[in-house]
Amino acid sequence: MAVEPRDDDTIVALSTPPGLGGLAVVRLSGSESVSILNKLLPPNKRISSKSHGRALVTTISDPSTGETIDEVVLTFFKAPHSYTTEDLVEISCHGGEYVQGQILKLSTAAGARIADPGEFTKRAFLGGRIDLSQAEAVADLISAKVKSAHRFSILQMQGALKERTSFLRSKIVELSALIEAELDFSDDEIVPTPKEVIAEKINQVLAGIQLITDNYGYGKIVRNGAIVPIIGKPNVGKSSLLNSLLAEERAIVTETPGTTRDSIECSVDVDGFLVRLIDTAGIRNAGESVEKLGIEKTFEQIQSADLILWLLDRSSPLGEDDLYIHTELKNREYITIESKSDLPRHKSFDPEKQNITPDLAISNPTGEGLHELSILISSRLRKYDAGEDAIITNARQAAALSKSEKSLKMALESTINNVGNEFISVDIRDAMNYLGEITGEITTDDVLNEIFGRFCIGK
Amino acid sequence: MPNTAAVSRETGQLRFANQLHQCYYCVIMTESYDIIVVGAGHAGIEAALSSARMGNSVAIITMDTGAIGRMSCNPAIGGLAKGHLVREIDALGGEMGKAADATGIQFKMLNRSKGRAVWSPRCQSDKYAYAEYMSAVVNSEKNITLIRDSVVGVSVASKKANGVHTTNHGTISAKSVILTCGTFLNGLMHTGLKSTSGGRVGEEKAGGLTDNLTGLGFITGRLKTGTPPRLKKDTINFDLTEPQYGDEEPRPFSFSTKNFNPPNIPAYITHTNVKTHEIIESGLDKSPMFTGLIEGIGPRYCPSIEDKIIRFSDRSSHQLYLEIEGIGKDEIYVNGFSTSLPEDVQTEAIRTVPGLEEAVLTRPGYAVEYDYFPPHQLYHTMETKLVKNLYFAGQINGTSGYEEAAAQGLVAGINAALKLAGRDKFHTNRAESYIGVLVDDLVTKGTTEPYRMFTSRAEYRILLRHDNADIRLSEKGYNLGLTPKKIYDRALIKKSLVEEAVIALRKTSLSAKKINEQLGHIIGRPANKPSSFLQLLRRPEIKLLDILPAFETTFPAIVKKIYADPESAEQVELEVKYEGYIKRQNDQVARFLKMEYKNIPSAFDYSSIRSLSAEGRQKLSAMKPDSLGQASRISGITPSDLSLVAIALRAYDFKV
Repeated sequence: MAVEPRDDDTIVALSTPPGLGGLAVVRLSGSESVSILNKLLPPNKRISSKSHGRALVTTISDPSTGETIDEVVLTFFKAPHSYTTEDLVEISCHGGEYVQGQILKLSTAAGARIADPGEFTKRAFLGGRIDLSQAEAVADLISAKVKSAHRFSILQMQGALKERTSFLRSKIVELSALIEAELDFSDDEIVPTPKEVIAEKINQVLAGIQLITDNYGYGKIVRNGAIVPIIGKPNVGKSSLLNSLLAEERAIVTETPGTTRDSIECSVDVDGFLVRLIDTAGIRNAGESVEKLGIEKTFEQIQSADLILWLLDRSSPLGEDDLYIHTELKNREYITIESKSDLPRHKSFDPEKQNITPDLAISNPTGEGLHELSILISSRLRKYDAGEDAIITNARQAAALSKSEKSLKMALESTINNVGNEFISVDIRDAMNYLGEITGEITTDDVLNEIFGRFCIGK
Repeated sequence: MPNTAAVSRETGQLRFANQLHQCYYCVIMTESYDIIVVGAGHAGIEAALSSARMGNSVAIITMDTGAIGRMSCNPAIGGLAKGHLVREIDALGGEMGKAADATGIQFKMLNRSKGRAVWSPRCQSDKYAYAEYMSAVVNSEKNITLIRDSVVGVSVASKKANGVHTTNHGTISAKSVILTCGTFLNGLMHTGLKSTSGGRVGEEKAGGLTDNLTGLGFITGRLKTGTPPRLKKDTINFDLTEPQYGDEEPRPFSFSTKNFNPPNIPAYITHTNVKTHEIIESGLDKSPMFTGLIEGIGPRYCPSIEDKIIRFSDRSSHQLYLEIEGIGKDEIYVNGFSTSLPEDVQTEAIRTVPGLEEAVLTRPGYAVEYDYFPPHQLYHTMETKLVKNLYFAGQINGTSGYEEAAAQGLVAGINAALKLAGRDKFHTNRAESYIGVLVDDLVTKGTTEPYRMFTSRAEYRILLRHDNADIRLSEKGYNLGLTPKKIYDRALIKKSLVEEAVIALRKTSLSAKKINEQLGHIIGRPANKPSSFLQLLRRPEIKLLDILPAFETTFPAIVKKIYADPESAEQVELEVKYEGYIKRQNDQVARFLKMEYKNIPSAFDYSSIRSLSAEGRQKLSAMKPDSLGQASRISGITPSDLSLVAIALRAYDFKV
């Protein structure tokens, strides 16, 4: 099936513009919106069928950890007396991407789906809420949103995600072929694949999905925070900057030990973004092997970073090490910072000559430039988001990935319990279809092609 | 003339209640019919029988009135997924299952080692008896007239079929025309580098019709299929082969078959070897496939022996089945050895196989190329989009297999009859039957290689089992006037008994003591708390039969009914053991149906949706899907295309 039928499920989306703001509104619409939301609310402050048209002050928390996400105001509109003519809940929450992202994430985990562009309006129209003259406007809205999703930065990110997902999907097709072949052909044509092999393959795909959800894009930034290493040659002021930012912004977690002895990670909330600052080992042409290890680790962190803070000491000459770092930053997202702005510029500090343009100058002792740096960090991180669509697209993809993961886990359980391929296949197909929602490719022919390529079929 | 043929278990000889060889060289009384069916193969038979039984005067026009229901390839009916089709055809009142039961010489439930949901019946047939049976049924159907002639064109006026042009009878008029021409359209047979025109060995090709249809605007393509050589039975040393019998307790295809007691005649297994492969490889320069002489696309699931040897060169041996083509007949079918190599290479290669050292070919294998019409040119009724009252069914649509052909013939025949009666069309969807999957795949996706049914094509496989085909479809067949009332009634009883039993199992518990007493020998660990029968039955080690004695004390009436109908016992066990999966599939079906019921009017104008993607607009306009659901299955249609269509449909409703 090319496209999942989608009109009867419950949808959720951010209704106010994304990013910073005092308040934000998240809407849920569909027959399950009340039951989904109630899973996130304390038992004594939940929505009931009598709540229509009333505001309810309550708290949203993560049911798996009990952690409180935000204090919110809910307004419930009972079907058909709502914009979409379905049960609809408006959640007024505090602005800030972290909170919004968490509410979207928890709603989808509880059974909602991220809305397609223009979908609330579409439902309003299909429900007869708005009239014919608006139909074309809705149609244009949908096609316009699809086009805006093709903006460059999104495209780049999407390209990588799509490639990874396609690869995983091809692995599931392979898996599916092994499972289906036994059902579609008789014992004397096909040698059955041992359960252990099937389980192993399911685990491989699961690991692959885990990797994607851990490593990709804006959705990850919203959920897990942005990885922002501070780099530069030794003694350029990296640790001081880290400490200054911790003092400047609200520290969420203090001094959690990093993954290696050389890096310290701290999380701060910058303009609603969870930013994971990492103090790295200074980079220089080191002879010592111990130091070398630390430097290699720094290069790895550069590769996996969402944004890099690169420090240049203006009180000393621009050196070989700086230029070396510069080449390593090629194609990476970074902010170039002149440190020690309280000290005079060294006469041989001439980055412009090397085609290096510092974005701003800071001083840790005076605090100069720190506020500007915070603003720059959040605006650069927001670049990952090309407007409403980016959040939507990514959260929807995250939802598809997580559904796929769930199906694969059920398939794994079925495999271990030895219930038979026809049942394992129910979940494997679902997993394949969910991944197909990201890559846009779904056909049973793929599975048959794989079978024909792999097995000698036909008596 | 059902149940007139039967195979005697003792002698293995066929006997017929009536003498059937009286050929009706019909005196044509009228030259006008309600429905003309062109072709008398597996599709043509079901098309003609169903429409005739629904009260229409039907003419079957065939080039050879002696070739009704001929099995051109393997002498077998059913198989994985195909067996499902046969059971469904039967539940809808078709003939194939009954014919197979009456003329089968060995029955086997395939996939028995796997879950019940994928069991599928298959039989080997006496292909001569099968054709005779079908011929008798067709000849005895009072509404059917057989005409021996060759059809060269469809007569069309104002985009509506009104008859056919023939070689000898001129134009014969009809209100509807069903084309079931098989592999005969410009058929070209290849053995080695020699090619002969024809659709089957010894039978003429049908020329002219393709040109006539392309002249009407139809798109055509070319496909290929093949068949193995047949061997002279008494030149085979069966001692060097391994006999393979059917099931000890055979099960019939038809829900009507009673007192089923078919013969159990073995097939014989043998193997190719390195020597065989060497000979075949040395002959490849004379292969029409490998020299590029054949242009048509062949079925990948049924590769020729030369294909298997090239593509799977690491295998030093391939299994062959020697199958009896008919009781008392001298020909043996070599299943697994489909080939179009020159006859001398075939003979030389065959003689390297154990048991076949002295084998004599009665006829060589060959490949046949033929014209087909990509089936996206049809509606779900099998009626063409271009010409009203013209239907295509069977291999002309690019399918392969007797069962696939018969299923389409049935759908075409029923719909032709309904349309003439001014009644609603007959449709069975993907969630209801394999027939629904088959038809929907064909008309929605088309096909570029010979299409065969596979269970993996059915999304809702767990629900579409061979054992519940009657529950799924007999109501439809009964309402059409095709399925006997008895069959429908029995399906209703079966369905309600299952529901009743599941409820009873759920609400009755057994104490821990009783569980240990009565089931202790089956369960692994002793029970320490009471369980409902339902919970007990969910355990993989417990079968329904194990708990029936204990269950009987509380619900004697239900248990009595279950004992009386072993098929319903199967259903109960399935429903309980796989409840979770069945529920999930039911949820999927509910979502699927929502889209399926959103109809798109055939006059709907996609060019009026201005935001639609160019690809979406082009494909939707060409395919004219019946529903939003079907639209979603057309390749290249995106979710936003679908949203736009949904909105435009709503707007359309406002206007109308």
